[in-house]
Amino acid sequence: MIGVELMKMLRRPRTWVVIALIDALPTLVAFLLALTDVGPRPGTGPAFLSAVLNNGVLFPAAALAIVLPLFLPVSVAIVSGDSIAGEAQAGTLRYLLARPAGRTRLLVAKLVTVLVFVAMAVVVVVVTGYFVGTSLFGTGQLAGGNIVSVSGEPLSPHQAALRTLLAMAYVAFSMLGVAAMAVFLSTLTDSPLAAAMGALAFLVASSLLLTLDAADSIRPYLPTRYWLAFVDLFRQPILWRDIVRGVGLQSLYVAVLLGAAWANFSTKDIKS
Amino acid sequence: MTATPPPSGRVPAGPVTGPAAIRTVGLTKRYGSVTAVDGIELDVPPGDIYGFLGPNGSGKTTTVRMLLGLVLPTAGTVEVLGARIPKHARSVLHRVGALVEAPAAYGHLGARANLSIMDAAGPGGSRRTRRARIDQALEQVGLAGVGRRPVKAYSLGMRQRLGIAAALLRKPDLLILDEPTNGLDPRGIQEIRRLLLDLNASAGTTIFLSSHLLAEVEHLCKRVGVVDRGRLVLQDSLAALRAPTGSVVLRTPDPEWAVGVLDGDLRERSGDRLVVRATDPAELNARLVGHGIRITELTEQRRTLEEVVLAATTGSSDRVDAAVPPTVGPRAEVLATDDSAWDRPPAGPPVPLPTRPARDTFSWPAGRDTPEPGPGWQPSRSEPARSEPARSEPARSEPARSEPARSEPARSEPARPEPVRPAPDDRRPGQSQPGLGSQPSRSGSAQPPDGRSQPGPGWQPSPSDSAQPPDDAEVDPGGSAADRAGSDQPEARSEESA
Repeated sequence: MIGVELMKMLRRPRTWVVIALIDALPTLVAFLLALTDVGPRPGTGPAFLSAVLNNGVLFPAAALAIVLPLFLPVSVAIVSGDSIAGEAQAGTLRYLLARPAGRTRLLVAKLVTVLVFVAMAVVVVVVTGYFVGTSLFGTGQLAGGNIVSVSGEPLSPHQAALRTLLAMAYVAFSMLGVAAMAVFLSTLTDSPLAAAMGALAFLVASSLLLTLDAADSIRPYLPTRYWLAFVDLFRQPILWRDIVRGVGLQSLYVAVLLGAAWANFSTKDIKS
Repeated sequence: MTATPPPSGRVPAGPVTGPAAIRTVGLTKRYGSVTAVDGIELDVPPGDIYGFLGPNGSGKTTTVRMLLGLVLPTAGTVEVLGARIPKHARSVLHRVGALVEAPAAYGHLGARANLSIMDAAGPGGSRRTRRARIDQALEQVGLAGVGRRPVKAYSLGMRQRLGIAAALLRKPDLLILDEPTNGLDPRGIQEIRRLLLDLNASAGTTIFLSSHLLAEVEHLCKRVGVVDRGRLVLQDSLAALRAPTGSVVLRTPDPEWAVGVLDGDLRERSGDRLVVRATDPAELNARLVGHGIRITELTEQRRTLEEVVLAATTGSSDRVDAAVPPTVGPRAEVLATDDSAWDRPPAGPPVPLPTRPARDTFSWPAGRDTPEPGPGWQPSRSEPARSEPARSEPARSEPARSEPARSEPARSEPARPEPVRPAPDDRRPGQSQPGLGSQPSRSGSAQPPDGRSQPGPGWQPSPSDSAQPPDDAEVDPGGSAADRAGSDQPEARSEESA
């Protein structure tokens, strides 16, 4: 079942179009930076961008920071929102369930597919980021191959690679909250668009509340609160506090929303 | 029955034995305050071809969905191939091929990829045999030459064929098909009909056919269940439902003589067409010819399935009249309380029926059969009498229950001697009154066969004369290759033309 769902996703042209679009933005940013040589002042703009001009090895992390706030969640919401509602809209859901695929199995297969999609998107962004970054900005030979971390200490290329991998894992994991929300909404409605938009509304609301001082008390519980904590992975030493909290919070959202999705889907009358 | 040879690779087998293919007990589904399915008791023996009929919105699809575990019943149980649904769906549904409403497929993929995905999505589809099974299913439905074209480029008929192929993929023991011939042209309908008959005959596949195409069901099915507003109002063999009415319809150029000879046996006359009470058509023929009366046509009168179904059901739920909503009728209420009328043996001599235009058939005191009406079965004269009070009742939309004083006395008077003819001013022309079907009555069965009822908007009239038996010899399958190639069937027809 999982294999079938993966094949379905990989054979869909849309999957690759979305990934290409996600990838296009950081690439465009890299080219603009390389052409103009005008980086954002340190402390402004997306994380790492000011450091990228000196060393392209940091560009993968910068690329993640560029796609994280909007592009990645939008694509994840589209793919996860489509998971059940898309089948319902196409009419194939009733045939899958009458086959019988099993409702829980189908839901699990859809979740795994979403996970794989997120991983693929992140990997593609990082890999192209690395090639684009190193070819446009060099590998920072001036600093003896070492990378200047966010906190000013040097990082060896080995450390940088490891931390980029950790950052990829953390960013992918941060997307699971959105994915779970979209999958849950996807079991509620037969419109994939509604499910994706609902999940995005959830994110936008969270981002908006983060900027509001009056919402201070609920801030630690907002799903987007710790998203950018992956920057802490590039400090020396790594600042784990927010990362651990981020993982915990995402796990909570994922558990609650997926539980709701399962409860709803396994008892739902399929009328599509 | 079939002209085509059994599909290659299929081992002919006897009828499936064992538990009922489908059995439901008190199957009920409520959506809030709306009861979509109300205590349906389906019983489909293995090896049967069962027609599930009913007006639009009567609960057919909801029932089919409950059989497949898509909709969960509010009450009652479903057993498919001996296993409870939805609890044991996984152990048995892979032996069921289904077409639920419209076919569905992934538009960006081709036919083979679609079938492959569906086959891999559940148990019972061996990967080793998959390719061969897909090829065979596509050949069975006439899509063998379809190639890699994405499904989104398919015509309606091709999609329908693909949907049927998906249902046939695992050589199911039970086929649950909802409107399987939607979107097919007459030749396609004929092909699918022949395919289904062939599967039933060669592999013993049980077929549960949900449809509102009466001709379809009449040509295919052995047993029929009629559902109306969520209730199963009829479940019987087609042969029993279409048993002779005890009358003979004849045409003669000498009607005056014939009337003289027939005397009291004449039921109805319109021009040269006579409806005569006679249990033995041969004897009647001999009698008339013995008197020198020329006969141009003489047939035993049978009810068409259309008449049976229209008599058993109320209006379509997709018809919304301004003045008298047809769905608001006393019918279901009366039936629920008047079960005894079903079992009462038919009694009394036949009644001459008033002649009236066919358009009015809907507003007749509609008939309803006992489970097994024998050939000598006669309409009872008590029923028309019973239905009359309701007929003349001004407030048509009121439930019958609110008028117990009106209906009860009439019902308790089963042997009213003279048939009551409806007064002409009682009728409201041009307005169908499905609520009248509420009065269980047997006189409807004596309708003249040419007084074909005018179906409501939800019903499709049978394309052919439904009194005819299925005539498979009519269409030559080999001579149509060019025809098919031009239509929605891009099959390489080598074996058939050879």
